Amino acid sequence: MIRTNQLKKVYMTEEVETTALAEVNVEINEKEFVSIMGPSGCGKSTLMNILGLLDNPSSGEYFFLDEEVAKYSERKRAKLRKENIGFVFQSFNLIDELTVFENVELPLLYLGRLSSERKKKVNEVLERMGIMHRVNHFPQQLSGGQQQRVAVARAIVGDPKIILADEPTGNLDSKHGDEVMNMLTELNEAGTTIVMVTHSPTYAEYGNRVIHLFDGQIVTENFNEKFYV
Amino acid sequence: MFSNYLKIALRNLLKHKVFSLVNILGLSVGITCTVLLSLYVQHELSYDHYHPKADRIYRVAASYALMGQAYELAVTPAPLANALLTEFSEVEEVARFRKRGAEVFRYMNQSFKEDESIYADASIFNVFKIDLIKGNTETALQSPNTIILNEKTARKYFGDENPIGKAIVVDNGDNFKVTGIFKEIPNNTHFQFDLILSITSLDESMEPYWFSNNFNTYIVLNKHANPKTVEAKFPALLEKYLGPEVEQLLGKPFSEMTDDEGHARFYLQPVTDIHLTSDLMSELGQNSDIKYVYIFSAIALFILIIAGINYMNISTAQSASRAKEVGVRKVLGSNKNQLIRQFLTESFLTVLISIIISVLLTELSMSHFNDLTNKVLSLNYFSNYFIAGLLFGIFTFVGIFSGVYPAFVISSFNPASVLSRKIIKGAKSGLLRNGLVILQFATSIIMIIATLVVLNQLNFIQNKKLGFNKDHVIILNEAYLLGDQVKSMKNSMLGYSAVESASISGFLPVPSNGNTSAVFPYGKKEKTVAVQQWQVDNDYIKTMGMEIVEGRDFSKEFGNENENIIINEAMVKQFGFKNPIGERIVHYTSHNNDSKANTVIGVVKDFHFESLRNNIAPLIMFFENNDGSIAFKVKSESLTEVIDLMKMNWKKFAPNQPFNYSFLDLRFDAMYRSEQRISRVFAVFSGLAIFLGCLGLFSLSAFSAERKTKEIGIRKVLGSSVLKIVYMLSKEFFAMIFISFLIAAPIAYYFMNKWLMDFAYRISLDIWVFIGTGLITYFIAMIAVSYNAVRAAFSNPVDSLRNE
Repeated sequence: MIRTNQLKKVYMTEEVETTALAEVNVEINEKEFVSIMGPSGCGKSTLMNILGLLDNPSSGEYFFLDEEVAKYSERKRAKLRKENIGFVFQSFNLIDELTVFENVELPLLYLGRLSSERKKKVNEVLERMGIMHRVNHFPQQLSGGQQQRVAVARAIVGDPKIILADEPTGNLDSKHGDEVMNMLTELNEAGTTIVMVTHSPTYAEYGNRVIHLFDGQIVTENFNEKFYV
Repeated sequence: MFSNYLKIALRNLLKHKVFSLVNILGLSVGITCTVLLSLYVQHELSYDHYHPKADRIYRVAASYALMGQAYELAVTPAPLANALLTEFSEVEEVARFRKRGAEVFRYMNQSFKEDESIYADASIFNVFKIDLIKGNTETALQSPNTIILNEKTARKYFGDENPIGKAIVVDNGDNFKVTGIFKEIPNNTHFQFDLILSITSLDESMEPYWFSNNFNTYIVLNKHANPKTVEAKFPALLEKYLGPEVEQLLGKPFSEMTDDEGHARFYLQPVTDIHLTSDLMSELGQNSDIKYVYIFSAIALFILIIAGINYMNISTAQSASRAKEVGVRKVLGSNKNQLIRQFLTESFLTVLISIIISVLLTELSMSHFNDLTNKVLSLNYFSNYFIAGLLFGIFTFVGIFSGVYPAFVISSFNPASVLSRKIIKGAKSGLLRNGLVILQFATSIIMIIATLVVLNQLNFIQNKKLGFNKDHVIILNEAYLLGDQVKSMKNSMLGYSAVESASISGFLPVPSNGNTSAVFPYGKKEKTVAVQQWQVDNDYIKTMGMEIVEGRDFSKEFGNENENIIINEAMVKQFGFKNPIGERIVHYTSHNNDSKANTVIGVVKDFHFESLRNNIAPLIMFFENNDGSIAFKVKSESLTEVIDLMKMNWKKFAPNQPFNYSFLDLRFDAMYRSEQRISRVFAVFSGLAIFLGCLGLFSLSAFSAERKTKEIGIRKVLGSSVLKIVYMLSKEFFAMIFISFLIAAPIAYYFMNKWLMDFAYRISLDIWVFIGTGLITYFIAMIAVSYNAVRAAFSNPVDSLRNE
């Protein structure tokens, strides 16, 4: 599903050149649940941005669904993104001016779905996330855990093939963190590929594979035994 | 998707209440100003276009430079019309007007003084659009002593009676039979009449003299005629008819007259140009000036630009707070175009709301604007396509202009960096924003300087030593209505202690009667010039507070004052008299035949009797009767008392005649009414421009303070004082205002200098006007900026640092 070859990302400021990713080779198959770990500044977010088609690499190849997308324009990336990828962020990134329903509806709007279909789908997803009672509230009126559930609902409403979650539990207490992790596991079991960045070794264990990044390079890859049980 | 854009647009407007208010208020005020000023301009440009033949109607104007004096006249000789009709094949129709000033009209026991009466040819109906409600256009003004009235006037005299066939007495003389009622003449024409009398009632309309110019002559050309061809035939016409008369008068051949730095010319003025471009002697009414159309259009555009810039600046500055939303939308698959569309929806929505509010504001302010401009404007959005189009144009233009830039800036944010909070600035556009603020303030400063200069010049005129004393002089108008009781009226009034002196004369040092004709020093006919000749009595100079600088005033003690004259200093200079007293000056008594020499007994100090736009012209005063008006010099505290006394005596000496008086100083002020009006319009709109500019500055400084919240927090933690932080936040704005001033001052200097050149007597441009304006602007801007700066500076640093 995802394969990178010698992926490199270099940030240029006026005088300093910073290498965020140095020749990263990674392969993620369908239905996998991959956790990415590493200290601050190791390049986790950069890798996620590139994998999520939010940013282009400086060099190297990136195959997304067997397409080489490393040099795609923003417009082409936007199209691939909305059809295939769902995002979950640490800070939720809900739009404050839209209600829960409208936030979750947004990806379907960009996919050009009909109104009746949107309504059915959004309600279905909100039901599944257990936040139907909050459907007309604005994000500021919800707790952190509820906000993240809305964010997950928004990520899956378009039936993406892959979900990229950047520290989804980072702003949550352990109870809500567990909740979100269970949700992601359920989704994965239903067939969605998941790539997740996390600082928590416990949550990293939810994945079937853990990739450790350090200074822009992959240092180890552990396969989680229990996946194969 | 569109409803989603609209939804978020509305919610954003509500969320950022202050900025939305500033945006919408600013735009509404700007649009209202633009609509009002456009209405004014539209009305000015519409003059005389409603006549069906408007594109073929011309007025014949005359330009003479004869006998040392130049005349630019809106009037031409009486026989010209007929000559054009019979000798010029291009001319399809002619019609003449003869304006004789105010006359008194009487029906039964009611009489009124009418300012808007005119004598006209019966053919005016074929030239202009004048609709008769009653009567027949073929016959209405054919016969002598016929008159037509407009509806309003007819009602005034006749109430519900049918006026047709009734007789109106004009100036206590002849009866005029009412032969028609016409619809009110629209206010967008260069003439306004309530009563039209047949021109055949005047003997002079049939006189053959080409030397006297008293008739406004209008012609309609054939459909294919070229006005240039017609004008090319004028010199031969003048030579043929005016030539012989000039030779007889001056004893020189006409060709010599016109070679010798003199000329006599006719030319055509398209009727639709008269209102805005014609400023000749003997116009039918007060015309306007195309200059004011330009100025008003410019002000409208400036204010709209200032308001548009506000919107653009606030939106781009606000973009920081929209960054997250843009990032999220992009992550969810929105492409750039969709975002641009979304932000344009917002700007169009804002403009639309502003337009709706401005329609309301326009309605509310219309009557005030009419007072300000002395117009009767109204607005119908459904029939006034110009304004409807303008609003649509504003909607499109301001919507795109103010929305596109922020739309592109915001939509090009990189989602990855926005969401990881690497840039939350939206400050890339700072240079452009500063440039726009400078443009706004430069415009405002120019407008303020212009206002102050106009006000200073008007003040200067009002207080200038005029050579006479205009204060506390009451003029009793139409004194001729007293008949042989004029002197009794004067003497009776002099019996009151409140009246210091009184003089009978129709000639006043403000626009009033004028009588210009040729004179020359005795024995030197070649020095002939045309000058003002006034008939005054022996109390005139005293009553007007004028000063005799040489010789003596007229006096009753001398028997033969009719042989004597008093001249002004300009006249002395014109003839080059070394010792003016005792010199003799020849003038023509009646129609060109007799001439008479009078002796100079006194020289009056030059006084201004025309607008200060002109230099003082030569003038001769004769000791002769003229009962046009009586001037009373009264004690300052007794003005109202004297008016009551005048009224009482008037009733005694002229029962049933309309009583009418005016103040000399107000008639003087009336000469500068257009300047006064312009200065008021300037004051109001430059005030609004500054207001809008400051509104923008206020919100920009709020953003600047918000953007620097963290910096302020750190500085305070490190021990910076409040004052230093206010200074830090304010200094960039003051630098901008200073630059605006540097740009505005020379531009304002250039244009105001040009404007002042219109006046022969004018102020010099004072540096303090410029410095003062700079300081005022600086001060107002300081209030707008420091509010936000002080608020930010006093905030708790812990709050601002916790933000991260």
